[in-house]
Amino acid sequence: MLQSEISRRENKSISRMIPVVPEEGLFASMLINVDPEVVFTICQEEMSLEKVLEGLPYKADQVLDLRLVDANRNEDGQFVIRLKNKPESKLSGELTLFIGEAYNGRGTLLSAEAGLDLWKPKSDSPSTMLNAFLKRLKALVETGEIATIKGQPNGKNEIKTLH
Amino acid sequence: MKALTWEGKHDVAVKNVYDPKILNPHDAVIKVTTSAICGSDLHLYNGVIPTMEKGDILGHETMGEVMEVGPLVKNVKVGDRIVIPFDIGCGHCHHCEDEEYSACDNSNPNFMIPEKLYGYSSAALFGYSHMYGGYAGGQAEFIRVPFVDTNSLVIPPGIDDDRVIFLSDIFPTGYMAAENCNIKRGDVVAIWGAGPVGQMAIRSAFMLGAERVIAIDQIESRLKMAKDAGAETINFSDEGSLTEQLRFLTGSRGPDACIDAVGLEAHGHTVLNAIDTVKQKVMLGTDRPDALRQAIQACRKGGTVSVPGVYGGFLDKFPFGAAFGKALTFRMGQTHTQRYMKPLLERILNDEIDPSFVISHRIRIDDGPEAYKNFNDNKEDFTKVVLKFQ
Repeated sequence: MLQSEISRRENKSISRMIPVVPEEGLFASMLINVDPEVVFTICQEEMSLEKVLEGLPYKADQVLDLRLVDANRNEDGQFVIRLKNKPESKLSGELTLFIGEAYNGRGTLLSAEAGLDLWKPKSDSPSTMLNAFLKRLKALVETGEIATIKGQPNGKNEIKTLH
Repeated sequence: MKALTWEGKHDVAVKNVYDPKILNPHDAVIKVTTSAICGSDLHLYNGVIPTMEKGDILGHETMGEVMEVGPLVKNVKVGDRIVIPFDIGCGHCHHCEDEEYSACDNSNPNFMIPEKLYGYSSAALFGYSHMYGGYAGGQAEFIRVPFVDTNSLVIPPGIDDDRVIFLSDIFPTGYMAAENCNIKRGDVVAIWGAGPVGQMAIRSAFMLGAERVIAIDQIESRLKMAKDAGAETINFSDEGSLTEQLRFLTGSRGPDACIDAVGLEAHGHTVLNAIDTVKQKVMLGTDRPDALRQAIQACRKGGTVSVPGVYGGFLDKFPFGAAFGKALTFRMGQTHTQRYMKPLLERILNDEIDPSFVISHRIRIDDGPEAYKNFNDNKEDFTKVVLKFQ
């Protein structure tokens, strides 16, 4: 079980998260411009999770599949969400999301930690995919959609050449 | 629909492609009435902006009529005439809330490319490479506009397209370039490049209180346009050192602020520019920053260098020692267009400026490929080309 090292500013009335780099595994964090409760709610929605996962820039046989296994609040007042690879997956990794109020009134800090067995990257930094996952999640939470160009017109799909 | 597409270096085509449709709930589809070719489109035409793909629809200066809106659109309705900013903001992230729209966190679906190149991804742009999102541009009969509530300015009836189309880019870009100079009354501002953005920067600098504006270019028709706005001019092709002339014109103090409205494809007769040109041709360099070098060299101690000109990669022989030694301030970046559209529309409606003065050619989309060639090869006659769809 991964343990997040989240420090706490005791002099503040509200618990604020400041991420500390874990000694091992994958890690990424993201500031999100809404309240932690909203992030916590959306992170638990299966449809939202699928939307975030389906558009990740996978290569070849790399696919990240995740399901929610647990969502609660820890003793520091932060929301904690545990996600695991689906039962049919060849992998058996776990991803933990910590959601709390960001430093300096910057909305929510979403911090993610995972073991190296979450998926098998062939290139790039392993945390790149985790960062992309959080970035897409942030877009969905902040705007209600994830930017896309899939399905837009392009000259490659020309109906008929005019010149 | 018909669209102008990028097919490779110096190759633009008119193609018949599928019409755009609503893909996300904050989208709108617009019937384009006027679209313009920007000087920065010529960087694409000349093949110096990476991550363009064959078939990409060009164009980022666009306006038209709203035909369809997504289910979550609130501020725009079918039938509205809107101007579309070239940069795409989501309207909800930290940067958009701070009116730093060109730094939007959420609009670029290809955020991983700029994150790798630049550390972080900025906003997506219409029709300007896959690094900037890969969105289809507006040199087409229709365009899909994401987050349309943020990326639109509704135009009141009775105002001709030509007066407001440049709120999409060059007027806000020139204005922000001047605003970035932190102009104080009585200041002298030198502007490299008297193309469309330079022309808007000249007029904006005067609006913001500059006493004198010095326009630098080698194209006489553009220098005349600058003179018409009250600027002094320097043709850098003429005999004499540019920096010496600027020194003389400012009593050896130098301009208070220098604007580089040229960007990564500088022309000029310096040795360094010749080296840049060769390096760029043989893929050993990305940008030709000679205008920026000159701006840094010419700027007064404690002055400001403002850069609206587009840069893409790594700058060779960049005189950072001079910048440091003279305690210069740098301001730059893609324009936060949405921040400026409404106040600049007010200036147009108050007859303080009519940006249509810059238009040299009005064409139909079928003449687009030829217009690109002419705009690139004949800058004496081609200042600004607009495509008309009605």
